[in-house]
Amino acid sequence: MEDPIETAGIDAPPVVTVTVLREPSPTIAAALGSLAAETYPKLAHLVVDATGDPEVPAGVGAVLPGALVRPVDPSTSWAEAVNPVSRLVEGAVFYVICDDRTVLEPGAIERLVEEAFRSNAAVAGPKVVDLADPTRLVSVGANCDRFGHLVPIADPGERDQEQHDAVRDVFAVERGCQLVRADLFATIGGFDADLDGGAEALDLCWRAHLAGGRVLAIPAARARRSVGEVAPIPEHLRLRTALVNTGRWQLPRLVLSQLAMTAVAVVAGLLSRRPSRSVAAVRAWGWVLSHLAGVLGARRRVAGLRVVPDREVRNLQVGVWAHFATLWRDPDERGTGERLGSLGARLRRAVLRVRTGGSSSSIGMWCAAVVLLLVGSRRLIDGRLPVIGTFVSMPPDPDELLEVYAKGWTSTGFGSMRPPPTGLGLLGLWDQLLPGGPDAARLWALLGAVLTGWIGMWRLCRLVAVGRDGAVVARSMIAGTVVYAALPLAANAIGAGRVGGVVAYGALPWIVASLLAGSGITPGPLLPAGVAVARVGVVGALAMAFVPSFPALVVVVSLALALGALMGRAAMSGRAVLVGVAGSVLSVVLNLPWSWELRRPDGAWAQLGAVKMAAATGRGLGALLRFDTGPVGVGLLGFGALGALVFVVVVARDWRASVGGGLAAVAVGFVLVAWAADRFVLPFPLPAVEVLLAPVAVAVAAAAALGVTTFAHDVDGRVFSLVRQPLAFAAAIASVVAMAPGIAAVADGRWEIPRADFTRSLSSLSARSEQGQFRVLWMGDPRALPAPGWWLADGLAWTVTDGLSTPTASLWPGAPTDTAMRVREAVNLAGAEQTDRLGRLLGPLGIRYVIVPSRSGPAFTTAPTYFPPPSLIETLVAQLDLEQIALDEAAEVFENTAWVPLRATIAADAAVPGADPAELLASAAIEARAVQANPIWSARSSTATVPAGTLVIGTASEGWKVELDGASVQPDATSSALLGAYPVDAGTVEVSLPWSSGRLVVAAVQVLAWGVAFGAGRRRTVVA
Amino acid sequence: MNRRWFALAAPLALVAAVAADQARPDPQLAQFGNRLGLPGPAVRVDPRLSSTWYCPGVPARQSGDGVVSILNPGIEPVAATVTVFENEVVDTTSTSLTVPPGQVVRVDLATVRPSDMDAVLVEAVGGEVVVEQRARTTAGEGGSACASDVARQWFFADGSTDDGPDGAGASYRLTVFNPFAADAVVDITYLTPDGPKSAQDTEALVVPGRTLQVINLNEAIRRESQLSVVASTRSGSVVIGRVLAFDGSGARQGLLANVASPTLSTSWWFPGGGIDTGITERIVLANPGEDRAEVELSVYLADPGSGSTVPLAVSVPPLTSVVVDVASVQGMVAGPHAIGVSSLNGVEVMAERVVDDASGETPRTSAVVGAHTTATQWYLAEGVASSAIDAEVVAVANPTGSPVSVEIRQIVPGGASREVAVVELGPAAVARVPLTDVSDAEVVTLWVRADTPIVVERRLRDGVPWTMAVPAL
Repeated sequence: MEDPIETAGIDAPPVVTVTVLREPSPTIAAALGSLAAETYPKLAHLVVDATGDPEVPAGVGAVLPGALVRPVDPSTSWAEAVNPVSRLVEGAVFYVICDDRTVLEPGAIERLVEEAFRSNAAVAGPKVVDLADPTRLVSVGANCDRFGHLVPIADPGERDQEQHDAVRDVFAVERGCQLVRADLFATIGGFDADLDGGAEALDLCWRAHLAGGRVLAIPAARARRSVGEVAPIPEHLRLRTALVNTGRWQLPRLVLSQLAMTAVAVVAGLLSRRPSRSVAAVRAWGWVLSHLAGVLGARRRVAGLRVVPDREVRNLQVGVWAHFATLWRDPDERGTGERLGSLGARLRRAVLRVRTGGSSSSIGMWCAAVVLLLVGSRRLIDGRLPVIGTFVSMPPDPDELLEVYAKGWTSTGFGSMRPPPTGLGLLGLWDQLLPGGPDAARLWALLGAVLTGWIGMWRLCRLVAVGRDGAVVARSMIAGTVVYAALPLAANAIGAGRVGGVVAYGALPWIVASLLAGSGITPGPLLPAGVAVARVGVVGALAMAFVPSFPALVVVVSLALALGALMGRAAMSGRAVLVGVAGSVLSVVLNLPWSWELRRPDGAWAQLGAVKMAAATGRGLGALLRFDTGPVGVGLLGFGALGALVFVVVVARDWRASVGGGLAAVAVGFVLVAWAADRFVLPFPLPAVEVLLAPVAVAVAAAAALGVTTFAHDVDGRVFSLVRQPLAFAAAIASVVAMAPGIAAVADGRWEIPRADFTRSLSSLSARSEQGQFRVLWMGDPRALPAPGWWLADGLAWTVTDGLSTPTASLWPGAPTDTAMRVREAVNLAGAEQTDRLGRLLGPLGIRYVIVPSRSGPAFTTAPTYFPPPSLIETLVAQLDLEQIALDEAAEVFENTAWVPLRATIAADAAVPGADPAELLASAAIEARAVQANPIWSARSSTATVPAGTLVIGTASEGWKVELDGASVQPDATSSALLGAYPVDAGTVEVSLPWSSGRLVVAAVQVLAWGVAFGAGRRRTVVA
Repeated sequence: MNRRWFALAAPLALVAAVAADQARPDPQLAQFGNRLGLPGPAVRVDPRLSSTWYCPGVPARQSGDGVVSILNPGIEPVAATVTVFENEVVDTTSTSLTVPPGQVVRVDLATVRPSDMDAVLVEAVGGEVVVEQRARTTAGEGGSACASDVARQWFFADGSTDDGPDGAGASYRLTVFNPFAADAVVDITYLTPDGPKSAQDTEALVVPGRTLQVINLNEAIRRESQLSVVASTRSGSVVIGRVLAFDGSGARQGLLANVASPTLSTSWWFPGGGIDTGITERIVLANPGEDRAEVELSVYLADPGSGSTVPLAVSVPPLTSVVVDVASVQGMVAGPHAIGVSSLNGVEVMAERVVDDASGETPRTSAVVGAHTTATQWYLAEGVASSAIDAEVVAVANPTGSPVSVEIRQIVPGGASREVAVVELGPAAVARVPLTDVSDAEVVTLWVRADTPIVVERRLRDGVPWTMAVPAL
């Protein structure tokens, strides 16, 4: 290889090695000897002796002649040992900083310097291989997430097959051997004196990045050390490093996210039965708080170094998911080498767990089920899950949901400081954990719910899969799970865009399993009531976060199970009800404070159910019994799934009769409820039909499992009867046949959901946003809107979106705010011919477009048709300031010519009217006076340079803080027509939604409550 | 129950339940709003936040040519914005004003935006108003109530483009007013006694948003002495009016400046007609439908003692117009009367009454779009000072089969009203009420109310055409 130094015709730059000896060990001599063997021409050596052994200096002189030995106290930190080098040695261009465990291979320093010179690296490290077995890798640098978790490029112990032998940018190189540019070392002040244990190396590299330097792994240079020496950075030091090096604007997000990560780590530690991890995660915060002054001082020092914006450094970091995977890794596997091997071992164990008591059929079933799920979703995985029905979109920034949740901001409608829905935080957490962006998070949340339902059904079936000998009957579990997976309920919920149905499908098997196990109706060991309540409570709380009426559903299920159980184990019925009711109460408690909002009389049903329809749906009892509720068609074969239920009711004996009776009661009860909601216009709206039918699906599938068990107990080996054997045969055939339509549904590849949403067919509207940000008012049949809406009339709902993007929070409309009520009032005024200027009433709210969809998706898709009332269209057509635009036959689009841009500045002389309709109608439109409409901000802090005038932040002023050149600005109370109007002079405006300590405490308490409940539900103690 | 029987009964019950649940509820769309869809100019009687009126076009070259009168019949002042649109000009001129309660504010369009033709959009906030347009040219004076709503179809039965060999005679300008932001596409077709006609220039006519377009029908359809107009939009909604001037070189002289009818109907009423020496009266019937209309024309004499008439049956072929001379009605006598037109076979038609008055020094022609609705309250915004009211007449017709008591009240400043006259009308009767006792107000506005639905029309003075009052619904 050509030597760039020689090519450039310059002398080799002077290099000083700094070797820190911490304690006597056999590798000291080898480490120093390797330095002596280096042939780099301008090399000087400094050895820092922290061993406290008086014989060491002499030994150093013998092995490394000419080295400067500097004895220090053994308690000296790494930084205190190394940092003086810049004072002790002058003229060096690079420092090579080593510890006493690392042995350099010949030529390592020269190669490090060559590449560092060539690539202008600030910090570089060699490829480190195992001291005993050089074919095993120890380190080739590491990536890092924003929390300071190191993610090694190579697993320690991984076989070296030259797969990492390219020079690459990394975030950090390990402490054992670091080449550091001397000028940068001086600039950034060397190592942080408060860090040790490897954190100081990460910190140095992080600050090098902030100072604009590159960090490289240079595999051509090799060093050796024992793979057993690799140790993780202590949790508190990692946390400190992240807190110190993160910029001020990112710091709140980091703290919030880290709190969430701590909660995850606590849960993960409990789940993986390594509570030490949970303790360490919590104690880290305690350590940081007790060293807060040091942290703040370090932050001030780092602030003076910043050359590169924080966001550029973040671009060098990896997502948090990379580290999260390591939480589940068995520490015993570290250093054992084969990454694939350890993965294989985990897979084998997982498979073994899946096969509990079973056969290879279990594995086959699960493989087939997962493959079918993936095949059936292939077009969604390959493309994008459209925003249809309640499949609302998620923000591109994964931090946003968590942050707005922690700040207590609900962006539904026009925004408010009402307690944000718990589901918002859960989705934010999910978005943090899942790579691939918001669309992937949405899709995998749905598919994950389906898969969760199957696993829950597997566990539920296990309760009834008890053979005559007491052993687990795998066939029962397979039968129940397969039937559950094949029922078209989840497919129809996805196809119709009803997230509630999918959530109920995923959660209810777990609920029923807990009710059965906690009530003792099933023959297995009795789960303690507290554990059962905790399980019902946690699962119910998760489901309630997305289906607010779910606790009521659980209560009804428990009552039905208890009713059916009266056929057998009547004494246990009371426990089922107790567990159901208490678990539901716990669900509501875990969703506080959001669940407290349900008490609002004007908003309760908007959250619990849906907008009341003008006419009954009229699917018919037959369709409900076949779960034929959506686009995935099911023929008469679908009735076959009911055969197993009839079979167990007729044939089952003993405890099986109790369970069968309970399942039958659940099925009959919820079919009747669903039928009533389908056949009549009830005075109160009910949840989506898939939510109501989810208990029926669970009952039918569990009956299939129970049927197999019943066959083993009550049919097999018994004398022939005109009922038992023929009915068993018929039920089996019917159940198998009934699966065909569900399995055939995978052919579509997208569960019949429309292949696009209105963001595609109406995309030209988004392109007009250069004139300012805007909102869209959607009105029409609730099933055609892109989000759950508010009631406008029976069968008619409305919602608002930010541009065409449906805010995630719109999944939980809640009670309309006063501002939202202005929209309803304005539309009703137009409907009553009280005004022909609806646009003028809506304009100050930033509503630029009014869209009335007649289908749930664009005209070129298969989206079903839901006609809006013609009078609504006539009303809008008659408005003088609404201009009809022809874009999509499936939606009437009107542009409001009197709209006021959001986040704009209105001219100072504009007389902004009040919110009273008469005053607004009498005023001239103020849209022409928007003199600047380019600032963009969300719930985050952001700044913009604005001209003098009235600044409109486009949302309610409550909770927001506006500062002009550092001075607080109060809202203009007279400009009540506009949302968040502030009189400002020309200058730099900072708009932020500040953190609230009260809200943070509430969020922390909620996280803690979830953790406690989760921990209680994990207990496996059983009552004999 | 024996389980064996349950095994049999359960599936059967299931099948029976599914079979019994075959009836499906009727699909029903959501109910939204309470738009009455009032055809033609009308006032809403319920409390109003705002109201909008559309005056599709009057000349406004110089002061007095075109005037828009805004009546506030309420007891609170009403703020109004008057936006004036010029022919084919996108730019508009707006002016704000306040209409005091019980008063009329007249806007002289030439002072706001002088032009060959102005359309006016009146938006009132704080209550209901009544708006009328009047025009005055060398041919004469005419006017009507403006439109209180837009529509996708408009009809005129009477009309002429017979401008004679020297270019004199009738000058027919159709005004198409699109007050909305979006463009409208309008098709205009024509009906004559000989059948339908079309003009390429007026098919798929694009009327840009917020503009007025004036169409010279003399160029589109040449020399048709009887021309009915049917306008329909392919997209958007508009308001259509006409400025039809007869210079007297032909049989007629006068100015028609009124708004078309947005609807067809099976019944039309004309309370204010009459024939006499030198006065001829015709009913023009236009049938734009595909079916022949069998129409009956009934005359109700103001003086029942002078005799009785026999209803005249008229057959109107599809896509044609028919002119009926009222004098041909059997039993007809000179004097005032009301006319009722009803379609016997349910085919809707358009009816207009034309009166040519050659009894005075200057012959005058007038054409009035009939009333197709009846109401218990009517408003008359335009009026004249008391010194000139000796010939002002209000005509009231009772189309019902029961007697009615009619009260004519003058609206005075402040919104109160005072009684002017009380008329008792028998079934199917008509009355003429001369206004000889009104206050010295500069403008005389009237409010007519009855205990059963009636129809009201007014003639301001001799030589000025009759105008239909505005119903309150």
